[in-house]
Amino acid sequence: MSIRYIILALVLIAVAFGLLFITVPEKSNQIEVTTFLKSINDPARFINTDDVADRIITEDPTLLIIDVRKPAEFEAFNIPGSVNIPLGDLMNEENRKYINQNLLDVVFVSNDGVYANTAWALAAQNGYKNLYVLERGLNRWFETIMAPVEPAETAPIEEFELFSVRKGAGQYFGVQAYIEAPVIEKVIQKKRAPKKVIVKEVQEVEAEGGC
Amino acid sequence: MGPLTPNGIISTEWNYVIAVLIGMAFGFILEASGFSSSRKLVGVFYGYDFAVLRVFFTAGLVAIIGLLYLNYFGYIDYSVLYVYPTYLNSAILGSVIMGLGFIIGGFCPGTSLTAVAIGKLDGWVFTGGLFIGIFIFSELFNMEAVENFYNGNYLGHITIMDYFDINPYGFVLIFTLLAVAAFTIASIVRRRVKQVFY
Repeated sequence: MSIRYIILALVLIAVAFGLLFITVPEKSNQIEVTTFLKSINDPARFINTDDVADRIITEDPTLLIIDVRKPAEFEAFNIPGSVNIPLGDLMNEENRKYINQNLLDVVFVSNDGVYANTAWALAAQNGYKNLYVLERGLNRWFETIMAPVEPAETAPIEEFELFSVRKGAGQYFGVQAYIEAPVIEKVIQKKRAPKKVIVKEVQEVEAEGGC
Repeated sequence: MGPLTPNGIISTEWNYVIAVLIGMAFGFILEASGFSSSRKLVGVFYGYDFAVLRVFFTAGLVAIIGLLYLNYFGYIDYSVLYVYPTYLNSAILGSVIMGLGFIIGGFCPGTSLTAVAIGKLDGWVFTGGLFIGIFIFSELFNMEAVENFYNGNYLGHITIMDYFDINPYGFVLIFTLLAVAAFTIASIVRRRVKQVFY
């Protein structure tokens, strides 16, 4: 056997032996930065309050609302059917199963959208699908669903239709009475004519006799 | 960075052009190494020439070791590589037929074409038989039993490392040691067998 073959065989063994010392690279399941930036600029990741209300009322089984505020805030007010997972606990192993799935549309909710957007970013970076943010958060929810403002009289008919839909939705979510803008009615005081007091004159009836 | 084609660094059109160039280079190296001679090829069965064993074992090892290192250094994403699907029935029957064809005909499909290229008659005959075999197989494939057997025991896109759930690095080291042992044994056998001139 020629010395060349022995050297080459030894090189092969040495290189293969070196494989034992390289660590298996940790598989990062995070998505590419460019993909992430593209999706962060995509307005389709926002869902507005009317759509969410509609989907709750029609009992859409593919909707999962995740409220990422603190439990105390959640207790004080929440969207019916929403699940409370505080932002800090979102990436816990037991909570990931809520967001790492392909069946439901996940809608993140917070007061204004800052926490909800953070939650969205955390989940989207991990490549999870079907993630949405409630546009302008619970503040907007309150403005539109819980206490919608009646449009001005000159507003187009669509606004009035939207208003009545919102009012209906609000009733569904348990709004008892609407705080409507006070309607200033002109109080017309009619001068009433003094009542005529009819005094019946008691007429003496003579006893009629008869036999 | 890699693999180059799935990541769009090489376009699909250029991929075919490069494939043709690699094919020509492969054929040239095969011919230059004497692999167009059926006597040299079957030497591995009779014990007087182990070039085939050495060349293909070494090629496989260089490829797998290179891929693992390139994956480690981040030049190739190992997980994106195309893994050929495994149909166990076809693989077993196919390798038996291939082995028989190799020892009877003295070529494997690729080397028969290099023999054709340099005008060897046995190469022409072998390649003709190859196409007759392809024709017969295609006609038989219409029969349901043949097709079911062909598709039987489908294991998906697996590798040995996935299937047995073993550490690829340790596996490759063991495989390398086995290969070197095989080379050593082969050279001992070759020295004991009577020299054949071809």
